[in-house]
Amino acid sequence: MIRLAGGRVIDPAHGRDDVADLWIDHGRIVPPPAGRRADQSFDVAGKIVMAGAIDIHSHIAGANVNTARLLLPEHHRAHLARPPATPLTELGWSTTETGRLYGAMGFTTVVEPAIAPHTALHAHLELADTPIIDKAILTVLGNEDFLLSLMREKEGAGPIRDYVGSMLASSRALGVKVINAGAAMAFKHNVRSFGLDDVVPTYGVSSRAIVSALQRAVHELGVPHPLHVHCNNLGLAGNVETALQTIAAFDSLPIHLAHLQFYSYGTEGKRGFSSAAARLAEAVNKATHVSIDVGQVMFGQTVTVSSDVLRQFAATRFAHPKKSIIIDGDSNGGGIVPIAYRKSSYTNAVQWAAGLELFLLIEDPRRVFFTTDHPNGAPFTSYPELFALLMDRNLRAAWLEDLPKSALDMTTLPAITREYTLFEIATMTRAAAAKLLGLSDRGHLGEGALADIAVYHDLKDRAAMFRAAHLVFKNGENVVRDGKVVREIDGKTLNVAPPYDRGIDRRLDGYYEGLYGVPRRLFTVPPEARGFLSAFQDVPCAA
Amino acid sequence: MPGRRGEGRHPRAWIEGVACSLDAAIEAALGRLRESRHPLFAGLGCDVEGARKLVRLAKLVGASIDHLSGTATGIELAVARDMGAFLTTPGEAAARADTLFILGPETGEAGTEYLDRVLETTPKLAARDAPRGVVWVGPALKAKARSNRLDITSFQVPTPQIATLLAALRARLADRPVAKAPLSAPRLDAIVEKLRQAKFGVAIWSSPALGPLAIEALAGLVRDLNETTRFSCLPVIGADNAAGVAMTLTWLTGFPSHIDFARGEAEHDTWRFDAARLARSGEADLALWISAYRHHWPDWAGDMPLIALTARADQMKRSPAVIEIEVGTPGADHDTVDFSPASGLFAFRAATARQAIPSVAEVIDRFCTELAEPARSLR
Repeated sequence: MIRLAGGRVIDPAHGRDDVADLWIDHGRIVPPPAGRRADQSFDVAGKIVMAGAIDIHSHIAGANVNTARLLLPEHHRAHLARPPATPLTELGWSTTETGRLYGAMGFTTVVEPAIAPHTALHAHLELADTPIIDKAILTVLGNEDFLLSLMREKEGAGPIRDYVGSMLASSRALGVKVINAGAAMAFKHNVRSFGLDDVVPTYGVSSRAIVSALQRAVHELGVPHPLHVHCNNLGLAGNVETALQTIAAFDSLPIHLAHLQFYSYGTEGKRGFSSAAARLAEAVNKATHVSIDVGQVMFGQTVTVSSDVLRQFAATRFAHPKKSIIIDGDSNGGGIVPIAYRKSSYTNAVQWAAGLELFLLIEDPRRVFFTTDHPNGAPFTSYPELFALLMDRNLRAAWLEDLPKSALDMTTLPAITREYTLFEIATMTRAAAAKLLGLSDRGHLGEGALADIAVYHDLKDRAAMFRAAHLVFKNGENVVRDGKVVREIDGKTLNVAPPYDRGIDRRLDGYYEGLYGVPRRLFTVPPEARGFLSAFQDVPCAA
Repeated sequence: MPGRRGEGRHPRAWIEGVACSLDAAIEAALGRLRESRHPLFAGLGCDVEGARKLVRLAKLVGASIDHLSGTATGIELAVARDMGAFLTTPGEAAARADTLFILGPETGEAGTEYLDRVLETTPKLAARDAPRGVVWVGPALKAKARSNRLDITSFQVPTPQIATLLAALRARLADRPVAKAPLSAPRLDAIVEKLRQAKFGVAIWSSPALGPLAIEALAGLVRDLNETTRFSCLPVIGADNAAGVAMTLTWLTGFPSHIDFARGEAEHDTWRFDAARLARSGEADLALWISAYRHHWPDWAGDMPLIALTARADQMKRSPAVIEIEVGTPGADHDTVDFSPASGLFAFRAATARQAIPSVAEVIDRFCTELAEPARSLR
């Protein structure tokens, strides 16, 4: 039995912010025992105690991420914990270091949000080699010939629901993501731009219809995490209209919009590129069915890794260094395009400001999530600086001094005074994140919760505080001390397995044999493979 | 199948060519690994699980790892990391490509098998309803004999001239004049026109035949074709799970090959950590040679002592290894996850005839367990 004595416990799920002891036994948080002494006691007086943080959207594994590693052997330095002098590690981008670096910051659960079902086994192999943290994947649907054919033939919601259930099972995923719905297929037909009401050639199915069908299927299957949507027209000037249309279009059920910063652009100013984040935040505030994550841009070298192949192809001309990989995969696609976000760039400064505007202008920290869309906006190792920016208006003002004045004129950021409290940070990165994913066993410090706990020094320098947690416990085991990993344990992989009509599996077996001439099991994560993977934990679905 | 593994096989091992127990071979190998100043891990014909354990062992003994120098996968990766790539899957090439651009000879067993499958498949997802177009450039082609559902045009070009040809095609695509090319201007233009008319074209080749210059020229040509239509590439995947091991090493260390752990963390240098160079220069003083898919040896095998984990040879010839341990073949003797040339993806394969001989992973795991004991730690 372990006792964390006298820390300031911040647990928004239970409305708590007070000084108290926490007790851990058999990997869980337990009530203070009567008449029993702790086997081990940690004096955390004056420290901040929170549940382990949860990252709902970070590209940490899988074929596309690994291709990015292959493309950029020179780039591992960019993933070092920042600033570069931090002696945490020599190498920042392997699966091993990913788990260790997340652990050092007090993160204990991370979701890899974009795995094409056929590459799920690859992703799970990588996740099994990612230590300390628990992890999960979202399976990417919306571009498959099988699904689009169901829609073209108007087979109705039943077969689509069963199909989604089958794909969740065969890829061992926690939820479903749709990425520029239909665009990867359209790009194979040489379509170069694809909006919400554009139609996939030969199928006659619009992007809107695909998102709607998947949103309904996910809901009917009882999957806790709502459909996770990467909208159309990412990165384009004026695309705030797409985001606003998307918010309005799917208002009957919950929906999660990923990395909204990349959709918060207007067309004002001499350059026709401005931040429309304030307008978008206002719409999100009113739309209670919507949750979002930000996808904050931070300055420096990074690489964009995305299954939005149509968009990534367009981005190749801006690649820095000048090389990219464009993949026309089975059903899905992928694009690996390196990029350097520069403080001196008008565009990059607007992007940076727009992300912060979303964070600061969306009022409810239960509906806005902390991401950089790692590594697309910035490597996750830049999180500590981002926490600090959210919590300190003076720090923001200092950063603004370095940015092009013309860009700042195109945002409302300089006028925003809000500062996140620790309670709000804990809400966003713990309580609300767990709720969004349907993980009742974590994200809080109530009795019976997993003992995933992060203890921080209460430093004025919030970046230093969040960069190196004082103590981190995973399943009650002390894995980090003062930012150093002291124990490398294996986490689990979380997945859902909602019931569905297995008739669809027989149909899919025949379909794969007919189309590819090889058995469907080659494209799945079969139960027999579990010896090569992390242990799976089933997350319950609504009945 | 002649020479097929039978039931009831048991572990076999040899020291200096003399049969011994598995335990004795492992003990002898451990002695060599402990004494080595700079071990080299090469070959790496193993599955994902084997590669995982190898990285652990390399960290323990400060080894260099290279399995890609001079191989097909090594050439592909080197070109892709220098200039990027357009890539597609075996499934998409088979099901969608209305045009195939096949380069080079019909070499390599895996390549021939896959090509046969693609050429016999009707592309059900192709954007146009017509026989699949095939443009085949290479020496001494037998392509004419293929199915009548194909619209094949072949151009006889010696393999060493394919790079020049591709550069010339790229110039003609950009409407630039070409002075020297292995084909006449009208024939060049005929090829360009077929490529340009593709709705979704796929270039297929086997890289040991083509070499890096040709692949680079092809990557440029395909990039330019994508300005107006869709085109992608499918390098034929080599044997021995080389691509799968390269990917596994990449996620575990950041690098696909040419890795060194002598200074603790993974370092990467394609010259310093080239296996043949390390062997011939004497910088490495011991090699751990892994070849679980087939029985073969590196051409630098005589340059230093070799510990070998190999698939069984049907005829035991004189082995260059000081210590040799027979290991199971992934997917035959034991369950495995490795890279499937049929799908272009990692896939699980159950053993076809489970045997009581150890896998690469199991042998390496024993090394790790022994070496990780603090009393015997090297560092």
